[in-house]
Amino acid sequence: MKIVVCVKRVPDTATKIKVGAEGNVIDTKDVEFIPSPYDELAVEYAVRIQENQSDVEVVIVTLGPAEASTEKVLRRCLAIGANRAILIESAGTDHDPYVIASALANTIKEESPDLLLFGIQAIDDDYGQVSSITSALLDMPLLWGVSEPLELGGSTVKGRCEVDGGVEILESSFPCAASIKGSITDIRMCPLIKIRRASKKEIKNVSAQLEDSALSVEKLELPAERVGGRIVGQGADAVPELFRLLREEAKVL
Amino acid sequence: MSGILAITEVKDGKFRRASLEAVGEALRIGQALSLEVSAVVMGTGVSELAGSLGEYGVSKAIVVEDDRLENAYTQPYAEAIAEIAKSKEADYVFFSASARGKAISALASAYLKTAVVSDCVQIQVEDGELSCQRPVYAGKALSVVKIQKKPGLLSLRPNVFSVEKNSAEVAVENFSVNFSETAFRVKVVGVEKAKEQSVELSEASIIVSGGRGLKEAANFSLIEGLADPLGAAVGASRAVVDDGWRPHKDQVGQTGKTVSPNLYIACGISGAIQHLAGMRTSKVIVAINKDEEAPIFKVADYGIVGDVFEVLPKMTEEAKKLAADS
Repeated sequence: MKIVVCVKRVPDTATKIKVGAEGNVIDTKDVEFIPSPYDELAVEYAVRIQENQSDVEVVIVTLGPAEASTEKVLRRCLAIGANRAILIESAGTDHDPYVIASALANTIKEESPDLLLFGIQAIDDDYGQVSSITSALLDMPLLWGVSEPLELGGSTVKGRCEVDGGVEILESSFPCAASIKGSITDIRMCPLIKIRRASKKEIKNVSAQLEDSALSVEKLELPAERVGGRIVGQGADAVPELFRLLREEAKVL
Repeated sequence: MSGILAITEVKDGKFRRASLEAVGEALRIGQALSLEVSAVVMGTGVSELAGSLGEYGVSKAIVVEDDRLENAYTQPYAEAIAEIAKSKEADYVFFSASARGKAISALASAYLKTAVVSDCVQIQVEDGELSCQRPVYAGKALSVVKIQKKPGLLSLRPNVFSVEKNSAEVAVENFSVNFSETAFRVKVVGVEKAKEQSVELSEASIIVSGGRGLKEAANFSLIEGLADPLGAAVGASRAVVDDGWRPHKDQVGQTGKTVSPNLYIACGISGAIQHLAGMRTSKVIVAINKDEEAPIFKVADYGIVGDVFEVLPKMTEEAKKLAADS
C-alpha cells in the first residue's frame, strides 16, 4: 500500500505575527517553521499504519520554496518515519487553496496512492480546503475530519469523523483520501537514530504548475488590541458584582 | 441569469441557525448589489420546510429533494450546488462555515475550479465587488480577500452574522440534479450524538473553558456545573487536552477551535498566545485566575483574581439563581 501525506510548512504556533512590507503577507524574518500540526499528525498516523502492516510506503508531498526551512520541515516528517519526500518548488506558500491543490494533484497523480492523507487545515491561512479540492481533482472520495484510526478492509474503509454535535461513521470505497483532526494519534519523541536516518532519505524536487489565482489577499491586518485588564475583585466575594456587570453593563446574561 | 445562492443546512427537520445567518447576509449583500437571492434547500423530505423560509425574508427557494440524500455524505450535495451554480450562472454562493458547510463548500469549489473565502467575519461591498475579512493564524491576524473568479464562494463563521425575521412569499423551484456515478460512494452509516456536550462549541453563545488551574481532570465537573445552568458549551486549553483530561474537540485555540461566543469564561487558563488566538473575538471575556499577572487578564473584559475552587461554586450558585428567574 502506498500512503501519500500532504504537508504544509507553517510558522510555529508561538509566533507573534508581524505584517510584512508588502502589506498582504506576514514578515517571515526570524520565523521558525514547523510542519502544520494537523499534517504532522497525519504523518505520524501514516507511519503507525506502516508499523502495523507489511509493505507500506509513506511519501510526503509539500509545496514551498526550495530553501533550508522547507527541507527542515520535510526532514522532520522523514524522521517520524516517512520513506521519501517530494518538494514541489514554488516561491512561496501564500497561494489560494485551488492553486495549491491543483499543483499537489498534478504530482500526486503520478504516485497513485491508495491512501491520501491531509491535516484538516493548515494553521497559517486556516482555509481547510486543500484536502477537498485535491481529492476531487484526483477523483478520490474524501473523509473529512477523521478523528479516530480508519478501519482499512480491502475495498472499503470505515472512518469516524467529528461533525457539529457528534460523530459520523462513514463507509467509503477504497482507495480514498482522509483529512485528519486532532486526537487520532499522538506525536512520539523522535529518537536520534531516526533523525540521523532521515538525513539520508530522498527528497525529490519537482517544479510546480501553478493555476491562476481564484482569490487574492489584498491586505493583512493585526486585530485591534482588546482593551481588557479590568479586575472586578478578589475571590468568591467578587462574583455577585461580576454577574451584575454581565447582566447590566455587558448585557450578555 | 445571475444572482446569489444561499445554501441552507437542515438538521432534525429544522434549518440550522448558522445556515440562516448565511441566508441573512446573502440577502443583505443581494440588496446592495441588486442581485436576486435564492436559498437552496437539499435533502429528503425538505420541500415543505422550504416554504417556511419566508419568515427570514427569502422569496425564492431552489429545492433538491432526493431520497438518495438520506444517508448521503458531502459529495452529492457539492455536486448539486455546483450544478445549480452553473445552471443559474450564480455570481456568489454563501455557505455557513459549520463543519459540514466547510466540507461541502470546499468540494463544490473544486467542481467550479475555484476556492472558497472561508470563515468570513465581515463582508463589504466596494465598487460592486465583495471585500471579505477573515481571520488567519487562528485570529492572530485578519486578511482581506477579493474574489478573482466567478462564481465567488464564501463561508460565514457561525455566530458572527445576524438572523433577521421578516415575511415574504416564497416561490419554490424544484431542481433535479444529474449526480455522477460516484456521487454516493461515501455513505453515512451511523451517527453518534455527543453525549456530554449538548451545545456545540463553535456555535455556542456562551462557553465556559477550563485549564491547568483545575489541577486534575475530575475537577472539570466544576466547569460543567457552571456551564449547565448557563446553557453553555465546555471548552478547554491545549495543555489539558494534551494531558488527556478532555477530548481534542473541546480544545479552543490555534490547534483547536476558533470561537466567538457572546461570553467566554476562562477558568484557570493562563492565556498562552495560541489559546488567545482561538477566543479573542469573543464579544465578552471573563477570566478567573489565581495569578494576577496571567496574560489572560490583558484580554479579559472582567477578571476575578482568585482560586477557581472558590470562585466557580459561587458562580454556579449565581447562574442557578439566574436560570430560576428566567
